[in-house]
Amino acid sequence: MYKRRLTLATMKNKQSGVVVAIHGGMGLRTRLEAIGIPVGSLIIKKSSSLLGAGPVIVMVGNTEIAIGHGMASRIFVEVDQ
Amino acid sequence: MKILLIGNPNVGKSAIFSHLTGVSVTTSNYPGTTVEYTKGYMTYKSKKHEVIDVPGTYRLDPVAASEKVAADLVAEGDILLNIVDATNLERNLNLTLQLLEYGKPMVLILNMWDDARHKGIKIDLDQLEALLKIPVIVTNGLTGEGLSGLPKKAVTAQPVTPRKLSSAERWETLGKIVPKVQNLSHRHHTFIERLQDISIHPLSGPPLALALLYLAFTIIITIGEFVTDYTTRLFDLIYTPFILVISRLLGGEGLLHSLLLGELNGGEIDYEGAMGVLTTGVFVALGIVLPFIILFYLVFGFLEDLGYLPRVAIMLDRLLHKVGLHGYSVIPMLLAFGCNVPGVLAIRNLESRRERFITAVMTCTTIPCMAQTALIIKAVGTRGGAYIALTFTTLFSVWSIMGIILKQMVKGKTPSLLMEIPPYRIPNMKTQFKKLRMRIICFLKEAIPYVLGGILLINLLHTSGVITWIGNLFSPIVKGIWGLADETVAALIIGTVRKDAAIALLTPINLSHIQMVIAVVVLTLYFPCVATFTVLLKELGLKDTTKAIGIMLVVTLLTGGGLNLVSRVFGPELIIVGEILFVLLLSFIISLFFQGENLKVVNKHSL
Repeated sequence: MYKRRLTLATMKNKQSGVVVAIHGGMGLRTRLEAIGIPVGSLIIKKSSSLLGAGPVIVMVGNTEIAIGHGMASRIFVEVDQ
Repeated sequence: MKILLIGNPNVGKSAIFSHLTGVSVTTSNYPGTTVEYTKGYMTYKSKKHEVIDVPGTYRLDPVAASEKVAADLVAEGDILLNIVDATNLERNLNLTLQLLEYGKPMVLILNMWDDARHKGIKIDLDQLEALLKIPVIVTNGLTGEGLSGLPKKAVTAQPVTPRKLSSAERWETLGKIVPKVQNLSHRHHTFIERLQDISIHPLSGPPLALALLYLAFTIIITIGEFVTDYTTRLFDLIYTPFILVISRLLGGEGLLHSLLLGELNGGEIDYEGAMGVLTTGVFVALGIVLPFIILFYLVFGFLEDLGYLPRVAIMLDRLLHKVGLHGYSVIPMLLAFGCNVPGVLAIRNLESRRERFITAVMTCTTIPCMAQTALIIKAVGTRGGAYIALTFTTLFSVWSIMGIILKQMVKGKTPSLLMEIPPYRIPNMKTQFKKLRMRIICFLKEAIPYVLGGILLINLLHTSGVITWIGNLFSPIVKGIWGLADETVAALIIGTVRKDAAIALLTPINLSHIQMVIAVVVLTLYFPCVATFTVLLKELGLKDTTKAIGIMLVVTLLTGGGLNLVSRVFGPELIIVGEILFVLLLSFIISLFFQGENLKVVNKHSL
């Protein structure tokens, strides 16, 4: 299967994939890990705002998590095509 | 023995704490309700044990101030009761593994067991116990189901062998444990889940939020006005005879008589204007503010327990980035509409000093608490609804302009929003009632002494002539810049004690409609009430509080002056000008949503 690497911000709604990289300092990675999004986790994008840079809403396991746009564009996801 | 209740945010620690200790604490449905730990006691086999409700945390290497409290407490605890959201095992157990490293006696409490069952999640408890080597129980914190066996399990728990794991090893361990104990079955979307999606969907979310806001305001204002009209009659009927008896006992005149009862108007007491401690003081607190407080917390408590607040935070995230904050700051601000004190306390959930400072300053300056709003509705509302609208439009404009300036002034970075969105839960009637009762008691205990004391103080200052002296002193500002009567200074003095009492003091002063609006706006902006000031000092420290107060005074001077100037230029047309300004402001805010500056950033990162 063809895989593509996108950021959470550029992913389409309802697309799913695996988090492969987080571009940012240790602080960002620990914050994401603590809330349940370590590298390697399966993630589904639920929605993002229509008007540009609003937060992205994802589903990880059974939890919905809101991620600010800046942070979402630093999270890289390998998406199934 | 020190027993700690510890777990991720919003897993129901406070509800379980209430059941174990009988101590009432605030519970709701958003992460970060508890910012300070609460202590209580639990008796087991005639031995008293200290139980501590620890603020929720995702980790023990803290960033936010409320997380630091948690990390410090764990080190001191004797027994750890780790509360876990059963619907969210993997993430929650990460903290469990971190807690196991302390080697202390520990019990795992799988809370929200019902929710998990409804979601089709099955957990093998025996297997989980065997893998973690600690006792596991299941509960429903809201109802207290499953908690009866907890005290015994807690006291008899044995210390565990500590296992040090790195962060990667922890996820790896979890990756092995969770599939072994958890069995998920697929199920269709429920009505509530659909509602969840609708309420944050970019198309349907904002209109729904606006509709809810409108509904909430209408409910509070209409019912509030109706009820307070009724309380006036109730006071005439029941309270007036009692006051007249006291009046007779005091001999019908004299210093004490005017301090306590004020102007009785021959038995036809005007409770808002009498200015006695027992007449106006008691009436303002119980006859006007209390009904509004009850209404506000009825509506707010419902939205809070439903889980709506985090969704507002998400919708306003973009707007708040414009003022140097992110979405979560909405939660302290919304709490502040009830009372500024819990609003300021909730800034602890914010991560950076910059966010904490900006949120605190904006909250204390521009957000009127419900007690104050009640009086605004009463005092300004009698002059027409448009003047209430003008008052709030002005406050909102100040909020926006202040935020944009503060964003430039205050150094530091604002991180992105990162927040778990709790599922909607239908509020439990019993919990709602308990919370409302707690908030009413808190209001009565906090407000009544200050309202009565404030009116007593102002009466003393009046009779001693000090007010006239201070009035003359500040006349250049009060009369010169804001265009108000010198007597308004009395309200400004009391405003540092209680804002509702201060606005009540404006009623007898002969002010034009516009002057009334200016006075109320100035009273909101210039200084926090004493209770808020105290927590502000505690949360921000002396240096930042001084800065905050400085900002407030400058803002007040400019806003009051600006309004006065505009009213001089436009005269009675000010209302129309206000409405035009409102439309301009609204379109400005909408344009902020549409502008594409952040898109560039997106492209840079997505390469």
